[in-house]
Amino acid sequence: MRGIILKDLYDNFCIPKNAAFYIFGALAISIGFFIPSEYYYVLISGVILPLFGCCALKSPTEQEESSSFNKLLITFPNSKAQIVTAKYLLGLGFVILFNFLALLWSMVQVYTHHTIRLTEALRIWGIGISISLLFLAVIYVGFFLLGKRNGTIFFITITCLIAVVWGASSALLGIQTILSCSPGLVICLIFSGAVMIVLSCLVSIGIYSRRYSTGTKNRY
Amino acid sequence: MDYAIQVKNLTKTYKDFTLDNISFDLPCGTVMGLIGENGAGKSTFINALLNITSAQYDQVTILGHDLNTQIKLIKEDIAVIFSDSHYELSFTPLFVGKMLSKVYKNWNQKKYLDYLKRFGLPEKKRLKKFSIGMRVKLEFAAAFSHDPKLLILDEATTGLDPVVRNEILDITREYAKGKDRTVLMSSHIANDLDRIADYIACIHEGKLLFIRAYDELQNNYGIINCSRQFLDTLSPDDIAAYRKEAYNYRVLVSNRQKLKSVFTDVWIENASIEDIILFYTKGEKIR
Repeated sequence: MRGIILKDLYDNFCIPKNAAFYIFGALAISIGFFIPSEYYYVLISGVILPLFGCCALKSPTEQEESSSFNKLLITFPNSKAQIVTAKYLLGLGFVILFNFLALLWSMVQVYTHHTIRLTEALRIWGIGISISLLFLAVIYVGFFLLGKRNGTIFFITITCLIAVVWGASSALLGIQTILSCSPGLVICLIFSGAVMIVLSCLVSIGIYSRRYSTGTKNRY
Repeated sequence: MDYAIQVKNLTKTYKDFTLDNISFDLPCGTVMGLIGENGAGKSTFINALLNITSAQYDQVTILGHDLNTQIKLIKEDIAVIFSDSHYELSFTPLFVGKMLSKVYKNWNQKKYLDYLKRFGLPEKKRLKKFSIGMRVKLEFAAAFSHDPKLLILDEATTGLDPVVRNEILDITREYAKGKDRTVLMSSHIANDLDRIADYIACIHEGKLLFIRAYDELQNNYGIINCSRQFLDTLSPDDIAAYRKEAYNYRVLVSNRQKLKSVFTDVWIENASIEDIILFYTKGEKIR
């Protein structure tokens, strides 16, 4: 599994165009860091950083399909479940990393910029974690099911959908409503995200195993 | 362990193609050439052996391990090179080594770097800048560096120029000289197998037509150019297949030495692997 994780990291950061995606994203986010506004804080901490955490599978899927590396990958001494699990572990690693950055950003907002209070920041951070888990769960199934091209279309569609939902809810409900949502709701959302990740992983193992299905013995 | 591969009644059915009841045993330390035209079922068979595609079988044992229950153990000790699946073009040989060192328990990085040097492959250049021959050599370097007991080549020489193909065959032959190292090599280029195979298995339209020792094919098979009357005098047991030409018949006989002693004045040509395959797949049989 370590070999697969290493390969996926390479695909994400050692290919210039993929590395450029992260560098560009980091630059775009860092501009928001200098704007002390509740709106930008929630957008970056609760939406953009968590979404970045779900990009770990996009580049490896592209690279694997363009050279049909998947077939060779199956000849490595890993089970199909391990191959899929390795990809989910890296995805979760990304989610943890980007949500950690979101937490750091929240602390800067609370203690340096004084844009929001600690309780509000933690709520937004919690919403961000749940969004990243739910998004990861849905997007990964999409990539395993649809492959590179359609998976990317699916990825963009879901991202746009989240952006629309975010835009509509902040316009209709207002930022204050989002900042003051109940902690119970946030915990429920995180729990749902965790359950969804497990289900998503199982479904993806099923999809992957079916694509490269195991042998069956003759029955007499 | 006597056999590297044991297959009993392996069948794979698609809508328009069936790999039909394949059974054979491949002794350890030998090279088997799996030959057949494009679409004959060679790759389907190899994919089934590697669990890449589903198949029905009574028993498949590789290196003494059951395919159904011990696939991970099998994969530790095999190396596979495909014609249609390669390392990602963004990789460098150095990264391939780093990745595989985390994949195989018995990966030998020093051996891998030695192979890279020997094959003249730059360590830090991305594979997209390599020629096809260089990429195939890299796959061989990677394959040999975890000391596999079984090497499976699925049309690995396809698309290579004759010089590189020869080099690859030399490399394969050198590997096969090692103790208890077995090679299963599929190809539709008979000449490739002529150079290295101990056994030849021929697949045609999903069926295993024959599996014979290479020496047996070389020593026992021959071709007679003759008339219809002469063909009729031959025993059906000696005729593997025949083909009607414009003015005569070409007969593939499976008992050349015996026929030579019986028909002392008849010239019996040596049959190449390609001839034998052509007769078996395109020739007619005496019923």
